[in-house]
Amino acid sequence: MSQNDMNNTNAAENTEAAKVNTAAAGDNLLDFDDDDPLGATAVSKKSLVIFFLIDTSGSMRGKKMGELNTVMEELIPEIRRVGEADTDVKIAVLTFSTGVKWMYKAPISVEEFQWSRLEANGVTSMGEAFSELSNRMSRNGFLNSPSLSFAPVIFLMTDGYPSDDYKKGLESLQTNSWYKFGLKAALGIGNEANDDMLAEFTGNKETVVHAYSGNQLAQMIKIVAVTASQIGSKSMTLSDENSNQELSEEDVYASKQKLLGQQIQELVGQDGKDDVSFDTGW
Amino acid sequence: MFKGFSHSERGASHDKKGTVCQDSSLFGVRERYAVAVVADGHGSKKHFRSDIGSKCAVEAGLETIDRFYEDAEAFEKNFPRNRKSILNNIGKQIISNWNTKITEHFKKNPVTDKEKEPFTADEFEAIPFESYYGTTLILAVMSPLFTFGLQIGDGSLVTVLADGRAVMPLGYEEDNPANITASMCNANAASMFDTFYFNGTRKVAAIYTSTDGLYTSFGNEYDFLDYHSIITSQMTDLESFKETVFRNMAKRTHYGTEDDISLSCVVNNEVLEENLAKINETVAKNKQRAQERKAKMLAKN
Repeated sequence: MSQNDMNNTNAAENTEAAKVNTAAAGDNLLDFDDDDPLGATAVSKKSLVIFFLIDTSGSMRGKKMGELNTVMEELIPEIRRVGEADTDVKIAVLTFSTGVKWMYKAPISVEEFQWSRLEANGVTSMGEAFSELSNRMSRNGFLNSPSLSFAPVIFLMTDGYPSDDYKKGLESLQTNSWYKFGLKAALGIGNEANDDMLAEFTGNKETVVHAYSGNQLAQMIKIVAVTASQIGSKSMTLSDENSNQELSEEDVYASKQKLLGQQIQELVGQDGKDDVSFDTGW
Repeated sequence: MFKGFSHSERGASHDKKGTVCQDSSLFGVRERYAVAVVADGHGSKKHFRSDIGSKCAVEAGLETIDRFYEDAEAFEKNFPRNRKSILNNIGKQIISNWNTKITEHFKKNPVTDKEKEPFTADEFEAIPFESYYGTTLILAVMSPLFTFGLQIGDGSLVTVLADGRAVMPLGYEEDNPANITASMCNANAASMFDTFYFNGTRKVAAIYTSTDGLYTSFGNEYDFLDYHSIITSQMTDLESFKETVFRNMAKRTHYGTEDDISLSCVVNNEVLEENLAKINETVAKNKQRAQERKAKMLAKN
């Protein structure tokens, strides 16, 4: 056996050499080269999927849906700015009325995502939407990328009470680990939306907000989506500096969900209440 | 008949924190066989010597294979007939060699006060010394007669067949949930190896072992597999192309995973040269399929 046949690379021994190499190569080392055959396989950053669950039942028809479409078109560039540094933010939109429908076949990078204007009709199959989300929110479904993922953001928007057995769908969702560790928020639109039921979905009242007018709807969607994306893509330390103990995933999730509730309530408070009543507001 | 390379790239997150690379990689090219091996030291609090543990692991792996091949004719005759028990024995021998190496290191290098600092006395007492060195190991061997591999813990093992197709004979994480958390430092480590064996009728052009930092730098598994087919297609000019691979690994940890990345590869020159046209054809088809997949994904429902 020739020593030349062996190449033992342990960077523990070569740390200094590695530093020198990196410094000498400078930015050139990290430049992308069009002639590199390996350039055909892209580098993937850590990803965050934002799931929007949107009620498109008949009661959303008119100003509610018109406003929602406009806000969502405006929201996409704002979310792009959240993820531009270290995170690949992806968006998945599931609409529910009489049945459920995904806007795209899979979560799409926010850079390539284009909003399709939604139309409203039919009943409110929210339970079916919960079951569908639970089915797709898995390593064998929408979250199949080898790259590391933050726990997803799940944002529910509805203006009324479900017309199907939502509890059955919610029970299925509550067994899903991505749901358990995901950041959950909900927006009730108009007087008919039931905040208690929305709190069942999010797990607490602090991440449930309500909009009674078009202006509020735009504000709330932006506040919730942008805040949740910022917190969702934040790498929180897994060690508690005070006690020097390693924290569990559950601890990190609980901290993030609590922070989301606090920030949403703070921002909603700053925006104040809209004086326009529901009836005239739409 | 064989050639290869190995490389460990320190993770961008370790660069930022000023911590050492926990990965190690090694390859060995012999007359009748070639070995590619990587190890990923766990790196968390109680595994504070896992960079040493991973180095001991790749060395123990290669030395074990060399020892089994000491009587090459007998080994090549017996292995196909008793592959299950021999793979089992190889696993046991690797663990035994690793334990010898870390024990030797431990005796020469008692734990320092600085290493004990993060723990209370009770916490430290509860950690078995093997855990200080905790690591994964992925090892693959190719010969004209057979190809086989062993894996403990996460990471990937990819074989590129003579037609250029890349396959993962041991699957990955979700297929091996029990294996993800397995470690060389577990009390029953020798029984925790996942193994595979191909007989010589399945022509293999190249085999690769990599730590999980490589896999997690890809957006989908197709790209990960295609990456290995592309490298294989360029291996006729190993010396210049391996620098391209090392640069790509640096980009992958910098822009993607931020984890340490190790890749070890060995190639069968004869199979490669004989099938180069077919391998290049597969690489071109893979590129076309990737474009089709993307177009399909962007189509709205």
